[in-house]
Amino acid sequence: MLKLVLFLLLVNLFQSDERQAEREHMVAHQIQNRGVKDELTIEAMKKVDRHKLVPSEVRHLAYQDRPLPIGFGQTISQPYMVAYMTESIRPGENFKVLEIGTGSGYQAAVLAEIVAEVYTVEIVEDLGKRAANDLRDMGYQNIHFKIGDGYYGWQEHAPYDAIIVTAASEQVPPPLLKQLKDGGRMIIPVGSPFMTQQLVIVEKKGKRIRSRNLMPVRFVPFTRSK
Amino acid sequence: MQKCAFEKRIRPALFIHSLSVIGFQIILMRILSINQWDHFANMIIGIAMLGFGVSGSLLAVFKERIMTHARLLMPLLMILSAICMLGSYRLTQNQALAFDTFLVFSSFKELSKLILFIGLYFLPFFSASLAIGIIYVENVQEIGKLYFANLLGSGIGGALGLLLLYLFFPQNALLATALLPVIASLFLFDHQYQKVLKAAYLLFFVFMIWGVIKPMSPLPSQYKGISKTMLLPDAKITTTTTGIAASVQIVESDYLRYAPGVSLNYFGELPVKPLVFVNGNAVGSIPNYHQPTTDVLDYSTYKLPYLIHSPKSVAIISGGTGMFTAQALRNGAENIHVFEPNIDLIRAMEQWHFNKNPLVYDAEGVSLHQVEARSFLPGSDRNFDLIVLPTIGSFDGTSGMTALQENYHMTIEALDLYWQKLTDDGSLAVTVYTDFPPRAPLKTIYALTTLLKLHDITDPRDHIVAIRSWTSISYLVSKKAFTEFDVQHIRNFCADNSFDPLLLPGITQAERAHHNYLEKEDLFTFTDLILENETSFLADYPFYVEPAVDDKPYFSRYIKIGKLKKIRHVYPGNEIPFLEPGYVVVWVTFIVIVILSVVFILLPVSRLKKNKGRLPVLLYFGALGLGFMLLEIILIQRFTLYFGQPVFVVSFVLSILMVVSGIGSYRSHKLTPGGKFHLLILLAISLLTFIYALFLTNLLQATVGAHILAKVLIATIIISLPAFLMGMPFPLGLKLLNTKHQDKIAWAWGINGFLSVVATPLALILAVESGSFAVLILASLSYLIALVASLF
Repeated sequence: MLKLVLFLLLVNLFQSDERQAEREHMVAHQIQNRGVKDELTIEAMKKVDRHKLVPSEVRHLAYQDRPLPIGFGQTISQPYMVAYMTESIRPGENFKVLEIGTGSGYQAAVLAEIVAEVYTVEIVEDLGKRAANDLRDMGYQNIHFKIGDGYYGWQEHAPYDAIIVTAASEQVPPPLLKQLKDGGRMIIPVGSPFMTQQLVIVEKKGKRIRSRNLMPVRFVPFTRSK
Repeated sequence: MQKCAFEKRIRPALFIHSLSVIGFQIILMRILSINQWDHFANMIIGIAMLGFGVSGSLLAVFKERIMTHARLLMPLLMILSAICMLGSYRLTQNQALAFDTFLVFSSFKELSKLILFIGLYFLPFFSASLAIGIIYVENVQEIGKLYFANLLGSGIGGALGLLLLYLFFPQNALLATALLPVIASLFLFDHQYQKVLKAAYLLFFVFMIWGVIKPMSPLPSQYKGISKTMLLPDAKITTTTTGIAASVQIVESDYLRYAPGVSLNYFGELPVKPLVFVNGNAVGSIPNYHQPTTDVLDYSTYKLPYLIHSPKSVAIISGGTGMFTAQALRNGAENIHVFEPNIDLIRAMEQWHFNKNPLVYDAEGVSLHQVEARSFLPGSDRNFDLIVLPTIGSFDGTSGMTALQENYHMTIEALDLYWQKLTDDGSLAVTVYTDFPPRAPLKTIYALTTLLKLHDITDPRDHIVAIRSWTSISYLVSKKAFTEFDVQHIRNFCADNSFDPLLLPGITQAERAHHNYLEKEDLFTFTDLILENETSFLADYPFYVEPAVDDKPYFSRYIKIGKLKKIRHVYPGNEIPFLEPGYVVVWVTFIVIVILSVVFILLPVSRLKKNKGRLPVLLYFGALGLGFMLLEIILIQRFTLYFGQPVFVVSFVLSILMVVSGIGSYRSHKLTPGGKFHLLILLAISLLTFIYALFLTNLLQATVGAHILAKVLIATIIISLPAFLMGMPFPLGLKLLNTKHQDKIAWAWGINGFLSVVATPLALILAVESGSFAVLILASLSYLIALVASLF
């Protein structure tokens, strides 16, 4: 029995190492190469087991430069996009971050490696529960889950240092802006879910709210592996 | 005697069978539009339609073996086509076999599903057309009358498909269509083969009963708006309708809020509203204008036209679900004319409102016109204080898919018409979604500046204002120059809502990005250059931002194929196809169809007798297939603008074209194949098409304001003139082959089918790149080629 446990442990370690190499490659080629510089973000991207958050049939593609289907018409964003959005909110270790749209849970996991607390809201119950189970199994203690309407954010824990909206939207829900701390940043993709999109950063400074259109992004690159 | 009776039965059989093929095609287009997106639907059908060509090649290769069993195969293939219609549908709507457009590029499994999908829909077209091919080869002496029956059936089949979609949901319309080939087969029932045929009937009825007892609705992609919305916890489809234009669903949920581009300074509640889906794509929410709630659009850039004026008379182009009509009412408009040609959308909303609040279109002062404004306004003497154009740049999953969608609202001719319909101090309003690098905003400002120049306004800066939010830009073009008071009012509104002016008389660079930063300021620089008429930079600009015109009405087409290298600097990797996937899909379709056509056209060549006949046959029948389809596509395009009711036009043009061509074909039996009349007919079609290329647009523009009956008469004459003649060369050519090269009859029929299919994506590509004029010239040339080929 002990032999079996040791064997499984070794296999697990070996597999984990193998995927660690893929992660290193992903960070170097897909993320740093494209200009993401924030050290906290880069380290987090190296740590999170992305392959544990995608369906088994696409697990082998987990570290490729593309989003992957996770069911319910949803996708897990490509790694670069997650890194870019994370860097854009300039995360700090003491941050409290609200995420709207838990999806696979990958963005929440990356944030949880950097910031103090992550609050994540998902409206599709099955999706939210699956992500919560996966992330708990991976040992994340600082991610808090809620199944509900992202429109209302999560008032009980407001205000937040940053808010990440992961689904493309045509409007910024007013309650979210209210829950953003003075000086806080919100990032939101604008545009069609499958075409090119603009990432927009919204900054709140006193009564003034400003937006910044970042470079165009594409949530679905569909690049085939060679 | 018995043979004679059998031949008499062939014509009604062919007529009914042809009805079913075109009816099936129309219904399938609807089903696939619900499953996926329009361009993919068209691609799949285009490839599946190759069944027409493949059947010809097969018939040429195995002619003797097939024709030995002709009496069995004719009815059997008809029944098989019906079985395949039902079977293909059931299999492709199964979750395990259905493919997803957006996953095709990332998964081989999904790609194999797509190939299976195409293969399944190839089968009904292949069996149906093989049956027709056998009929032609077996009875080539009667080809004129048979072709008449075929064209008549095809012409009426288009209308029948739409009628069935009006009466039934698509899955039931399919069942009704599948009955037709079975009925057709009864005319050709041969007792000698009754065992086999009865077994086929039995199998058909198993599928039919299965379809009736366990109907399957079309399965929308999990990535379509309707699928995602239905994931909301309490989402309910409260209204479903089907009609000739579209299938419409209205979804209600306590989680559905729709406030496009609302200001970041707006802290009120965003109201919950029902959302409307057309073929699974979201088109807007239904406003509840009776409730005294705030109109959130007044906290977006859409407020611009109501800021400085109080327009009393307003025209809303493409009114959709009524959001902009409600805004106009709330802003004091008293007389609103709304143009919305999608009759099924309106029907669904009317059905929905029985138990709900009245529709905004029923409000006092609102007149709804269910046609395009372009066909209505020329005949109207109304003038408007404000004309609101439809928003440019769709937000839902279809943006970028619309590159090939004709947009007759934003062409220079359209803007000119709207300008003429404004009162002396009237204005035009249009909103675009921001994009990067800037494309839609530059094309818009270029079009508006061109309009002002057309009307001798030398400094457009005094007549155009524009404001920008975090997501959209709204433009307002006024006949009167804006005053300082107007400008101050707009500045105050921008300050209150965190918007920035983009264009204002006396604007400074600093105020253009006070609230909403852009990483690059190309939008400002290029907008100014266009306004200053310094457009030389556009030659190097990787995107096509010159204004659209009626001859090339593709406002949403931006990619310059020749500048792909440059675009790659902006969108690295394999991202470009996803900038305008609709256009890419058409190119892919075209290439695939051309490759398959070449392969299958060449396949039977080794079986044909080696003589001089091969090249002329290839050119003659290929040119006829190409020319016919090119003219058909352009006539549909031109009359869509003329009548302003796209679905009616497709049915109308197809029916007239096919039926009159059929009459021409019928009359052709009196002519001598290869004789001087044969040549004159080809020359006449070529000349007529050339004349249409030169004058059709002007003729239609001159009469667009006429009474609808006069327009129908004019259109009937315009279509019938070439159609009558176009029905003759094909049967005459086959008759000629029957005397000279009998072995090539089936091959010729296949070539004609292949080139007809090639013509569809080719016409689109040519229209986008060079305009519809070029398509008509190619059609004219095709008939000239046929003329030359017929001399050999």
